[in-house]
Amino acid sequence: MTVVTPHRCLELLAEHELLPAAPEAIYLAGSLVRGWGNPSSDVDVYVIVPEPWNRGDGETGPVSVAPGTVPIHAFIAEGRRWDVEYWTDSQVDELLGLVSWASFEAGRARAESLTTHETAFMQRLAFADVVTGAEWLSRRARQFDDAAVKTMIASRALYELDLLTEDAVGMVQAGDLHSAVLAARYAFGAAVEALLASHAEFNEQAKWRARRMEDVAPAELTFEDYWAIETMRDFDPTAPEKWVEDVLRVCQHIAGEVQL
Amino acid sequence: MTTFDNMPDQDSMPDQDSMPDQDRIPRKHLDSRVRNYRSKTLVAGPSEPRELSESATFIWKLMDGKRSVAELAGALCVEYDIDRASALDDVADLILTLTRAGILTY
Repeated sequence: MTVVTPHRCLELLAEHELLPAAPEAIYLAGSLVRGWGNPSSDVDVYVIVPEPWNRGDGETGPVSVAPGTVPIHAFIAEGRRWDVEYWTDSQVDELLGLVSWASFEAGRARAESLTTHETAFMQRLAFADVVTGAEWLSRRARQFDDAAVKTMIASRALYELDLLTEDAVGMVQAGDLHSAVLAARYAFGAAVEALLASHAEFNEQAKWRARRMEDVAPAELTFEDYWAIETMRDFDPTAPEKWVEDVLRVCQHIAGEVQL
Repeated sequence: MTTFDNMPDQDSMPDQDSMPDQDRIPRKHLDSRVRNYRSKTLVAGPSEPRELSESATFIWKLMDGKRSVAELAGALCVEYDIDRASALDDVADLILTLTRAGILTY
């Protein structure tokens, strides 16, 4: 989906004094680019710069790569909020190192250490509208696709699934059925996130889960079966433990199908 | 024993030297864990994970809480072109191992 032409994007950035002299790449990403937008959706712009962007009057987003933040500037144009996030090429290199197979297999790479800005950055490389720097974008998208990020995030989701399943089982045993139902719901969410991550769809924002399931259409779980559980269609308040068991069985099936 | 009981059921555990009851249905504990990593399948209960062989992985995937021992052995016969007695032995061995590990109820 074309949100705005490259020319118009560059114009707007220049008008707001947000266009660096020699960017490595500029691209649009986020819900609008993926075709999931609505009238209140923001435009997300990524600007890759050779040296840190230091205008100084913006906000910052936390990242685990040095120096620990990325600058973010916002403005309103064309009836929408625009969020412009600046990454240096060396930060991208450092992030790539964090999610390398070597780091993962040495036990140094942990999805828990990644921030939402970093996860979104990596995911959005695969779904971007290039403004400038097409070669940079395709090279980086390929590098991250080959890295261990999918496995890292799926592994974390499976770990969460294990914990929540253990909780749900214990809660039923203790007669705490309300808590067990909630634990089973969250366990299902973790199972679906693991499945989606294994299919390279690892932007873990729950609000987009249905969209992401539709886009990926994983053979391991049909959208209809997914949606029935997500919306608790078969939940019977008089027999909650039955729903908990059914959901945990589906989670178990999903976990057995996820390839790390 | 209910679905939400976790401990291995000692009374119903198959004996090492005897054939399991072919009509019975093995069920995975709800909180048993599984990982598929680089063509290896690891399963775990309360204790250490154990790696499944290729044929054990095949049986594991078919254990859906609905298939009986006979059905699992039948599927193994077809998949690996082995005789029924060998298939039943393999299924029995796996059930015994996983039941003792607290991963399966039988």
